[in-house]
Amino acid sequence: MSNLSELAQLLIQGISWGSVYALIALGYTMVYGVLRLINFAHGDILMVGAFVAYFALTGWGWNFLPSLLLAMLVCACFGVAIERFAYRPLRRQPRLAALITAIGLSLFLEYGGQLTVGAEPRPFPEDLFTGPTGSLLHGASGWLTRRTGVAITAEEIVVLVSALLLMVALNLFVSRTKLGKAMRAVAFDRDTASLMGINVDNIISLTFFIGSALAAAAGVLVGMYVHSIDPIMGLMPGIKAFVAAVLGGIGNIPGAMMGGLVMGVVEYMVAGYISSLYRDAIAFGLLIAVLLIRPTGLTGKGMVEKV
Amino acid sequence: MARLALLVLTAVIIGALGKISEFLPGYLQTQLIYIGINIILAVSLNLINGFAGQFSLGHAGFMAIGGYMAAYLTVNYGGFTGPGAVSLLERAGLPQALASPLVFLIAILVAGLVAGFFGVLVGLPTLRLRGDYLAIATLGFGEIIVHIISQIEELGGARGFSLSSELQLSSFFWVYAWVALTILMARNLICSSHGRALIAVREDEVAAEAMGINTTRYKVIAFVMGALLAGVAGALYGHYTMYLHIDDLRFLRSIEIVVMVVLGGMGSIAGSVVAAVILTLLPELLRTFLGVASAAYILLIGAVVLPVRRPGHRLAYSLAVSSFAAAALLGLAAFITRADVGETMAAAPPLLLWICAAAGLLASSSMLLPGPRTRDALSRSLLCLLATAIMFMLLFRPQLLPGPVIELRAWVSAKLPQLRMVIYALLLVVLMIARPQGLLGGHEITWQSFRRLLGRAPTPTHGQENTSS
Repeated sequence: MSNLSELAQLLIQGISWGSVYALIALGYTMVYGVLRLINFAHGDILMVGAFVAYFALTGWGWNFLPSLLLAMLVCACFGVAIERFAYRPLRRQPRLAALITAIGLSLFLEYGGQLTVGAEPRPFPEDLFTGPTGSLLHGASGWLTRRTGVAITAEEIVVLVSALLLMVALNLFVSRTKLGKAMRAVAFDRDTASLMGINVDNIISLTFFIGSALAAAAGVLVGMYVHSIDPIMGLMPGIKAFVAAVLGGIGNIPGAMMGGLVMGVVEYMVAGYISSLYRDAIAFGLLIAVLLIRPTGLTGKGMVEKV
Repeated sequence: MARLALLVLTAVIIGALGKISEFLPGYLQTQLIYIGINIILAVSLNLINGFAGQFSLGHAGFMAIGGYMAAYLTVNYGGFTGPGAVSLLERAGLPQALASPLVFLIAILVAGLVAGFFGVLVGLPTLRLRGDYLAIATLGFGEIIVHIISQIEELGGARGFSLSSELQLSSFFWVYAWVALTILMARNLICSSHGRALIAVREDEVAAEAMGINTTRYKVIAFVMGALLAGVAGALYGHYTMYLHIDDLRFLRSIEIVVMVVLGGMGSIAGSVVAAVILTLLPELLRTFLGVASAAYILLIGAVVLPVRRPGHRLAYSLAVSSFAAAALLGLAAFITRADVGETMAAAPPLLLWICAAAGLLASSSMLLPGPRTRDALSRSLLCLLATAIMFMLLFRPQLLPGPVIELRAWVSAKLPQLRMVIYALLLVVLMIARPQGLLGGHEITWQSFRRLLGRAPTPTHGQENTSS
């Protein structure tokens, strides 16, 4: 394999894995935008989503798309419930109290998962795509592989396409709709937004709804990509995605997408060219380097401090 | 002179307690050691998070540096098993009983200093960052540190670093001497002008800078001191478990320490100590059904009785507190005997259980004693009574309870290994929602506060309210 196609190969893998990070990072960044809260339980919502899809796929024999939508819906409601019962009572309290509740919830979901489904990893079903969709996907994958000389699997196509669709939809929602405008207003200044007649509680619930749905989608994609799910599967992607969100400038939606992609590509480049052992260390090193040069992330705006 | 006497007295007390602790069952001794190590970690992190207001998520990284450094020194140069420092000192005429603690002390100090040095390295660049960006940068450093350690073959690499059993040097005395030293150092720092400067930085960095405080310098001082003590804790930890693995020293450990600091109350040394004790013991307490039941009982009594604190209710309040303590005693009994509900009668001294039962009844009725008999007090009292009745039926006469309760008990008992951490996490969430300021909320436990509780000192007009950015 030539150097160039090796590079292209790693780039493709990095981008598809990075777009999963980006989906997770979006939830972090949106919640951070409206509440200034690091939602540690976000990675575990991802895990719940993966398990819901798993049971829909294997237990009820559903197809990929309905399972994905079901997982997104269940997790969205779950996220709203978490916000309502665990974070809302603490909204006027020190931010760290909410952070600890988030950590507690994360532990609760992880151990609760181990209690209900067991700690052993389960194989996520392969060959999800049968019938016309499947042949279309495999055909596309084969065609692309032949045309470009770079192996692109059907899974990578699904991951890329679904992540891209979701991100475009989110961007349209936030920038074009009235609710999206309200969400931006709440993120900008919560008190003023409520004075302007925006129901802040509803907007925060909506944020959790969307963020958790995206996390669930990411969870299903992780399951499909890694072929294995377990109750602590959300931990590492969650942390990495959070790092990605900070990398892009936390609270900033395009920043989260960019951060996720950068993170994924860097990880695969390091794994491919240096050593997979240093993958995490270099990813974090990159983060620190970026933060030291641009203390508010890649796209972050300098904060003006008023005294 | 008086200070020296106090130090010697503390050392003697710790030594005596250490001797007493040797009579306890082995697992309890282990828990005591872990409590001590967690206290050091929590108090040292509180210097950074609570007093200087710099949110660090990488404390376990410094613990890892200290742990590995000390272990590397004692294994390769300590001479506990072969030629090395101890044998050299012995040849120089020092008795073995003196030589090996001396070498261990040097290893701990070097480990602490190295961790502190890394604290400077990490702190100088990152402490320019604010808030959550700082948290993430420190998290990143913690992860990088353990990844680098896992690449070093001399430190066992990814397999972990095992120490031989001769190197189990940490003991009750060592750990608690360092606990005392840590608390002393933290207190002295806070009460000095450096500490005031730190608190000024926490309260308002811009204002502090305007007052001529070199904010970076003070932030780095706090960070380095925290890192140094975390290194010491790591050294003590490694020489107790005799096995170091990076997975135990990653961000989950850092988060655990952060939880202790926040739950205890940011900027309260006593709070960190209390939270370290509770959060170390809680998962252990939840190992048996009796423990789970008593934790539930303590929580319930606490939630129902403790909010009632009106003037004129002093007797009721003190009764409630004492019965609360008795309920806690029941938990302790559960912890010490480690008895499951079937074995309770045989394993725990029956007298203790009856005392607890009586105290529970007292807790229930204390609401009725003096003061205005409001409907609120009545309903709280009845709730306590019901809880106490269920609790003791569960323990003494389970056959009297309805079927579903028995089934629930059986299910809980069977599922405990998985259930206990779920309960632990839920308790954490509930505690945090109930007391967002932390258990002690920025207050300290001092002789003055005891006198205030007894009504012999005036209550301060303004509390030390804790704000965090």
